[in-house]
Amino acid sequence: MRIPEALVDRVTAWDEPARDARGTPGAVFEVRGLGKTYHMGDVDVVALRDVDLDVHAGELLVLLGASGSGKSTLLNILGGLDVPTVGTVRFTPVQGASRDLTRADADALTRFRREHVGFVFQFYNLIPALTARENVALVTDIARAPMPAEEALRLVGLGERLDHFPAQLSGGEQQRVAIARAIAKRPDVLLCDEPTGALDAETGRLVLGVIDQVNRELGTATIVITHNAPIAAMADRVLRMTSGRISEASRNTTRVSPSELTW
Amino acid sequence: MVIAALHRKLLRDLWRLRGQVVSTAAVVACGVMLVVAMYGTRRSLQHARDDYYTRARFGHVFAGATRVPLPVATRLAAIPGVTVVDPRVTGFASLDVPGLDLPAGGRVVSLPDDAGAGLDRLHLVSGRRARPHAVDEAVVSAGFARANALGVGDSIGAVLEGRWRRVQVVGIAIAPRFIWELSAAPGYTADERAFGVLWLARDAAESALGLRGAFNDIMLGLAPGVDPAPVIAAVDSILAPYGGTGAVARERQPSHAILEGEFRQLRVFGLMLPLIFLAVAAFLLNVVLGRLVATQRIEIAALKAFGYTDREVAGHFLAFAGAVVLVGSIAGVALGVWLGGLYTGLYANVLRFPAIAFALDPVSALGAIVASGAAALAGAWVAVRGAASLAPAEALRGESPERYRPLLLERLGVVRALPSALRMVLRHVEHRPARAASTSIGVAMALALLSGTLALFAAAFHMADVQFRVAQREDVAVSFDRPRPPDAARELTRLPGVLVTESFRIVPVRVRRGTVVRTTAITGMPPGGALHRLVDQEGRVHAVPPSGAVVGAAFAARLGVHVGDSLRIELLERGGEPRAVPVVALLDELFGRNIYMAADALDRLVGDGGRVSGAWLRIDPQREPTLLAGLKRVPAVTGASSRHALVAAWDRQMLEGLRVSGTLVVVCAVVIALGAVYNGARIALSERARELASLRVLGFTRREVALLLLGEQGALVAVALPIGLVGGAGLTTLLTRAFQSEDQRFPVLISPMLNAGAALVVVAAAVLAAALMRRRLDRLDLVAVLKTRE
Ligand SMILES: Nc1ncnc2c1ncn2[C@@H]1O[C@H](COP(=O)(O)OP(=O)(O)O)[C@@H](O)[C@H]1O
Ligand SMILES: [Mg+2]
Repeated sequence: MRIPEALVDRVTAWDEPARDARGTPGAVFEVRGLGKTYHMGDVDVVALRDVDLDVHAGELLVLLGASGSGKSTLLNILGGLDVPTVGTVRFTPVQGASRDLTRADADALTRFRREHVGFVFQFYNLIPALTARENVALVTDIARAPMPAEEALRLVGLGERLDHFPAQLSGGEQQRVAIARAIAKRPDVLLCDEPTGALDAETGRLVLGVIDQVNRELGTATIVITHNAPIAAMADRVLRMTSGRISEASRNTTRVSPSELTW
Repeated sequence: MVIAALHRKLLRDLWRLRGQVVSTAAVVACGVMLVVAMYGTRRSLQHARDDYYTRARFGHVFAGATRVPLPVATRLAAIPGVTVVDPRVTGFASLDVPGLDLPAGGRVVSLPDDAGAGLDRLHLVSGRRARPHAVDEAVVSAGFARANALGVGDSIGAVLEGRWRRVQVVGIAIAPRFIWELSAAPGYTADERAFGVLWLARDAAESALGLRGAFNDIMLGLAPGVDPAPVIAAVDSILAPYGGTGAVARERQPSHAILEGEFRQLRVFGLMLPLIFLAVAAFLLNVVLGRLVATQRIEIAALKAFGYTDREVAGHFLAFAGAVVLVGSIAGVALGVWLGGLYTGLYANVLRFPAIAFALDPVSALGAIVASGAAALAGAWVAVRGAASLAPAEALRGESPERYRPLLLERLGVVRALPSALRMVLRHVEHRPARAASTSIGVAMALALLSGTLALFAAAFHMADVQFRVAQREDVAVSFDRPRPPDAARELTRLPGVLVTESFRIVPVRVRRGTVVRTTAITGMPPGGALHRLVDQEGRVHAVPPSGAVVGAAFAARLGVHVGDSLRIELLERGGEPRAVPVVALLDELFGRNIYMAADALDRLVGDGGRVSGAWLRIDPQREPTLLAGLKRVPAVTGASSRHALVAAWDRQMLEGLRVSGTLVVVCAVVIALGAVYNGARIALSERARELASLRVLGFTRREVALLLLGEQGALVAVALPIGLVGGAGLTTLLTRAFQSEDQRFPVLISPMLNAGAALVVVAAAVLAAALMRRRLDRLDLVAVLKTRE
C-alpha cells in the first residue's frame, strides 16, 4: 500500500522508529544532508543532493529510480566504497560502537567493509579462478566470526555445487554464490546493486528469493537497488530516487514473496 | 572525422600507458643503442685501421736476419708478387729518460733517407723527421713520449751497442708497425713509460748498430691479392744464409696480432652482445605489446561494432606498437652515437692511429630498428588478430568467466588447505603459464646478461690476480742487453735493497709442427724458484721439471703436441740444426704462447755456458726508487719493470673499461628487468583489476591486495633468479670461448659474490617496479572498476 505522496514530501527516519516493521529499535545507518558532486572538467555532476535517510536493523529496503538518479552513488557511500562531498553517515552495528563513516580514512573504510558490509553487484564479480566454496572462503578467511562457507552456500541453495568454478555455473547460480559470499561474514548490512540486472526474470525471482530469505533468517538489514518497479513489493520500505534526491518513500504493509513478483 | 578520432585515441593511449610505453621503449633503446655504439665502434676502428694501413703503407711480409748485405734486397724485390721492399736496421737500446726513475728499453729503427719512399711510413704527431745524416736526432714513438712527458727539443740518453750517446727528440710519431709499442719483456700490459721506439736516420742507425751497408730487418709490400705464403718461403730461402729468423705475414706481426686480438674482443662486444641484447629486447617487446593489446579486447570489439574494418583496427594498434619502437629507436640511436663516441675515444687513447672518429653505421642501426619493430609488430599483430577475429557482439557481451581447474597439486591431493587468495594466484599462474613465464623469462634474461658479462670482468681481475700475485711475484724484472754470464745476475744482488735474485734465460726460438710455425721464446728458470712460477688458470703452482719442456696448453693445442711428443725447435740467435725437446707437461695458463724449461736443461740445449737474460728481484719496497734509479747506471741492464707499475697500468686500463662497459651492462640489465617486471605487473593489474577491486570491496586491505599481485610477481622473479644465473654461466662460457685465442685464455669464473650482486641488482629493479605498481594499485578506483562489465 502506498503512502499518499502529499504525506511524504520529505521522508526521514527519525519520525519512524515506532513504526519499524519488526520493531527493532535503532538505525544501522543515519544519513544526514548527504551530497555528492563529481567534477568532470568544467562541469559538475551532482549525483546526490541533500539526502536524509535512516536504515533500520533488519529491514529490507528497495531503492527505485531511473538510471542515473544516484542510487549506486548512495549505496556505494553507505558501503564505504565512496565518500560523500557533504553530509554525514552514522553507522551503528548491532554490536559495537557507532561511528561516522564520513570521517573514516581509507583504512577504516576497508575495515568497515571487511567487518560489516556484504555487497552484491549486477555483475557478480566472482573470482573465476576459485570454486564457489573458495570464493566464499575468500571472505571467511578474513572475517571475524564468519559462518562456514558451506553453510553460506547451503543457505543460497548451492550446497550441491560447492566445488564448481564460476564458469561451470549459470548466471543465477553465480549471483547466488555472490550473495553467499556477501553474507558469510554475517554482515550488519547487505547492499545489492541491481542484483537481477543481468538475469532473466525467472532466475531473478530465484535470486531475490534468496535475498529475501537471508534478510528474514539472518535479520540482516538489506538494501536492494533496482530500476524495476514491481520488485518494490518485496520490501518493507520503498524509496524512490529522482535526480539525486529521495523523491518518494512508501511502506508496504506486507512483503510479497519474490516468487510471486512479475515483471 | 573518423580517422582523427582514432588518432586522438592513439595519442591518449600512449599518454595513458606512458609507464609501459617508456619502459618498453627503453628496452628497445638499449638494444638499438648497443648495436649502434658497439658495432659502430668496431666498424669505425676497423675503418680507421685499414685506412691507416693503406695510407702509411703497412707491409705485408716481415722478416729479420742477423746481417744482410744491402744488395740482397734487390733479390727480395724480385720475388714474384713483391712490389716494394724496405730494408731497415733495428736493434735494442737502453734509454735514460730524464725524470724516469727506472731504466727504459728502446727499439731503434732506421728511417729511409727519402721520406716518401718505403713502407711503414711515419705519421708525425709533432716535430719533424730526423735529417738524413744527423747522428743525434731521433723521432720518438708517441705512447712513450706521452707517458714520459717528452716533447720535441728534449734530449734522452741512449746506450747502443755499449756506447752511450745523447739524442735529441726532433719529432714524435706513430707507425703501423708499432701501433702497439711492444716491449721485449714478457708480461701482458707494458708499462708505457718503460719502452719506446726510436727512429734514427739510416746512417746514424747503421753506424750505431754496426750494420754499415747492411740490413737486419725488412718489410715487403705485395701486390693486391698476392698470397704471402710462397713469398714467405722465397724470403726465408734467400735470407737463410744471413741468419734469417723466418718471415711472417701480417697475422704474425706482433703489433698487428695484438690489435687483432683486441678487435676479436671488440667483435664479441660489438656483435654478439648487442645481438643478444637485441634478441632479449625483441622478445620482451613481443610479449609486452601482445599482452598490452590483449587487454584492449573490449575496445577493439567496440571499434568493430562502430563499423571500423579489421584493417583500421589493426592499423591503430600496430601504430601504437610502432610508436613505442619509434620512440625507443630515436633514443637508442642518439644514445648509441654518444656512447660510440665515448668508446671510440677510449680506444683512441690506446690505439695509435692518426685519426679515429666514431661514425654511425646506418645499415646496422637500421637493422636493429627493423628487428625491434618486427618483434613489436608481431606481438601486437597476434593479439590484434585474436581480438579482431571475435564477432563484435561476442566481445562486447563480455567474456563468460574463464574456465579454471584446481591446481595440479590439488588434483593430486598433495595440498588441501591453502588460503583462497594464494590459491587464486597459483591457479592464475597454472592457468596461463605462458603469461607468467614471460615475466620470469624476461627477468632471467636480464640476470643472465648481467651475471654473464660481469663474469668476464671478474675473469679479467682474476687473471691479473693470478698473474701478479701468484705467478709474477718478483717486484722488479731486470732484462740485460744481451745474454750475459751468470755473474751479471749475481752482481745485482749487491745493489742496495735487493733481497732475492733469481736469474732467467730467454731464448728466442722457432717452433715448427707440420704447417704450423711459430716464433716464440723458451724461458729458462730455476726449478724451485720462489719469485716467478708456473701457474695455471686456477692459480695452482706447478713445479718446473728438471728436464724437458712445459708448453702452454692453448699453444700446445694449436701446435697439436701432447705430453710425450717432441718439439722441433730452432734457436734463432745461434742458428744450427733444429733440436728436439720432449714435452713433459702442459700448463693451462692464461697468457702467451710460452715454453718453459729448467735453467740447466735450457743451458744444455743452448750450450753457451749458462748465460742469463735478466733477473727477477725481490726488493725492500722502501728502497724501490733508489734501486730503480741505480739500475739505470748498470751498463748491462737494458730495462727494468716494476710490478707496481704493471699492476697500476693494468688496473687503470681494466677499471676504465669496466667503468664504461660495466655501467652499460648494468644499466641495460636493469632496463630489461624493469621492463619485464613493471610491464608484467602492470598488465597483470589490468587483467586482474576487476578481481583485485572485488577483493578490496570484500574488505581486503590495500596491503593484502598489493601483496597478492606483487607477491605473484615476486614469486615469478624468484623463479627467474636461478634460471638467470644458469643462463649467465652459459653466456659466460659462450663469451669466453669467443674471447679465447692462442695467446690468451679467459677463465670461466662463476663468482658467488658477483652472482649475488647481479641478482641483487635485478631484484632491486623488480622492487622499483613493484613500488611503481604499488602506487598505481593504491589508486585503483574500486567503483569505476566494478561498474564495468568485464
Ligand atoms: N565517477 C563518476 N564521475 C562522474 N559522474 C559520475 C560518476 N559516477 C556517477 N556519476 C554520475 O552521477 C549520477 C548518478 O550516478 P549513479 O549513482 O551511478 O546512478 P544510478 O545508479 O542511479 O544509475 C549520474 O549522472 C552519473 O553520470
Ligand atoms: Mg547504478
